[in-house]
Amino acid sequence: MLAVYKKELKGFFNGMMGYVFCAFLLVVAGVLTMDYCLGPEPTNTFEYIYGNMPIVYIIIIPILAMNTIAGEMRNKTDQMLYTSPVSITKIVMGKYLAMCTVLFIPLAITAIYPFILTTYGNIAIWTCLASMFSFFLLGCSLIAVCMFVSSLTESQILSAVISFGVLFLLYTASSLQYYIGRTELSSAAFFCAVAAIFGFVVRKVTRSIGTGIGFAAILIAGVAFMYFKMPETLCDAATKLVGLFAAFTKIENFIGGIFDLNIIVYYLSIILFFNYLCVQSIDKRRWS
Amino acid sequence: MIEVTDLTKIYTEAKAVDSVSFTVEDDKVYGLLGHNGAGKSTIMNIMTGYISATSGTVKIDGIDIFEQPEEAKKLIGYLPEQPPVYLDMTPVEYLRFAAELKGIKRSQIKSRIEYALEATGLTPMRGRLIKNLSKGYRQRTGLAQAIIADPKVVILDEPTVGLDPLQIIEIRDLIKELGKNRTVILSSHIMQEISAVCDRLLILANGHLIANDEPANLMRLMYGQNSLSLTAKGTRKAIMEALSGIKEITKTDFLRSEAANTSKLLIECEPEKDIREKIFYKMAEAKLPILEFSGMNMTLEDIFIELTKNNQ
Repeated sequence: MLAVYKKELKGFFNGMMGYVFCAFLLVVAGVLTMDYCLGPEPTNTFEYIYGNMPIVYIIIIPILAMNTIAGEMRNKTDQMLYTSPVSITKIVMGKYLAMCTVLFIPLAITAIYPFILTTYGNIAIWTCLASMFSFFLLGCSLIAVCMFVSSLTESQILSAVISFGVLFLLYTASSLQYYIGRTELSSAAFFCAVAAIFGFVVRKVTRSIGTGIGFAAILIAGVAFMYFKMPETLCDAATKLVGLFAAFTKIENFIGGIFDLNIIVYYLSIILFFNYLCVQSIDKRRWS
Repeated sequence: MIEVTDLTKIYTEAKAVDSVSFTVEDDKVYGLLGHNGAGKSTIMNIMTGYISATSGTVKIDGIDIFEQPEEAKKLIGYLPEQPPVYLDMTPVEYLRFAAELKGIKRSQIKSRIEYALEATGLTPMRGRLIKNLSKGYRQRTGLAQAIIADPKVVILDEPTVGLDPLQIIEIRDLIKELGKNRTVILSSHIMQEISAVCDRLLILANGHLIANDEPANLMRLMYGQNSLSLTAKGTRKAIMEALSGIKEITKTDFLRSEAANTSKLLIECEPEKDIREKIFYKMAEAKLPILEFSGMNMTLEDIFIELTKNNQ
């Protein structure tokens, strides 16, 4: 795992990618810091810059992660990795941790800013550091999502475009959730649509139309059962489900000064889940 | 020892490998021979654990590659069809990564890198970026990666593709050298390469294993000893009568002849006897003019074509 980690990290800083990534984050953080804390109407709320930065992730994380697994497949270097005496889990973990390290470097630099700012006034240091931490965790979760997308295709561009779309949906999930009605019927309709999409995915993965339709039918039957027998559970359920995907807004508690353990568990679950999916996706390719 | 039992690989469209079984003995060089798409690379990819098999087992020194992949992979060095090199590394950086990946001890990494560079003749290119190296040197870098951990089994998928004739000879010598104290399996569709280095041949056609023998045995099997091809004017009966006096002839086979009133036949005779003069005089006596007369020397190439054409 260490070998892969070192190779990946070196790879980022052998080329421009690592430097450009760090520089971009630092420029955004620098401009926001100037605007919030050093402008004509300065405030002491340095932590707010982390609340404004997540939108940057939509652009830079897909680019950071697009090459990780897709590039290996295209260059056929995956043949060397997967025939070496290292498990796929360790290879994926090595790659993942290397990307997290690239993200950590510029964030660690921004963590110095509040200490510098204390010379000008009162800064809530712990809130700033906790906000930085939550922002880092959000980034790590998004890296896991984009790495999984990268394992689905051999094309870097396709990987970046799909990742961009997925992150955009996650970013807008917090506002989109209110477009789904709160009534039982609208929830049921939403779940049926999700079931149909699941069925389609299952059909694609198993290459069997029957399995896909069967899978969707079971899910839809479940939704119908709930709609007729216990409609109260469906009320608001779809809105809440979509709200779960609003990963970007989850850091607001930290910025407000609350160290929220639930959110940490939430991000760690996303990280583990998508790392697991990534390993499965690579394994599946080997079995088909 | 490697045991491959009933290996089958079915892709969605086709059966790439169909219940192939063979055993590979230690310290020998094995050649995997077949047309494009015969299943060579698929078998090698399965043996090295890169892809899975639909059914069947592969055991390296008794360790199942599917059940204990990490243990089994430690014993193998693999050079795939396309060398798995990172273009923005130098050979030294690349080999360092390969050595760390394969779990070579820190203290030995330097000496193993030097060994691999030396063995593959990469030393003069050690500091250049791989993307600036020619196909031949990239191939060597891939080969260096396969042998760096001193594995018991070296599997090479078409190792000499893209090399110039001089490099081919060098790599061939390296393969022979490797084969002295470890098992080497290489695939190719080039006959000279196989006959020059292999102790044993496995011939594949359409996913089936159709021959598994030593090159010399295969040649004997096909057209054993000494055969001649003869085309002469005259009926089959007359020719048979004329040749009946030659004791050394063991077998005659008439082939279909294109021209009227001529006969074409294959004559087999006892090994290491030259009966061409005898045949000439006998035919002359019987007034049967010889139109074509040639010795048949079966090459591995002929054997390969002969064996695989029935399986097309």
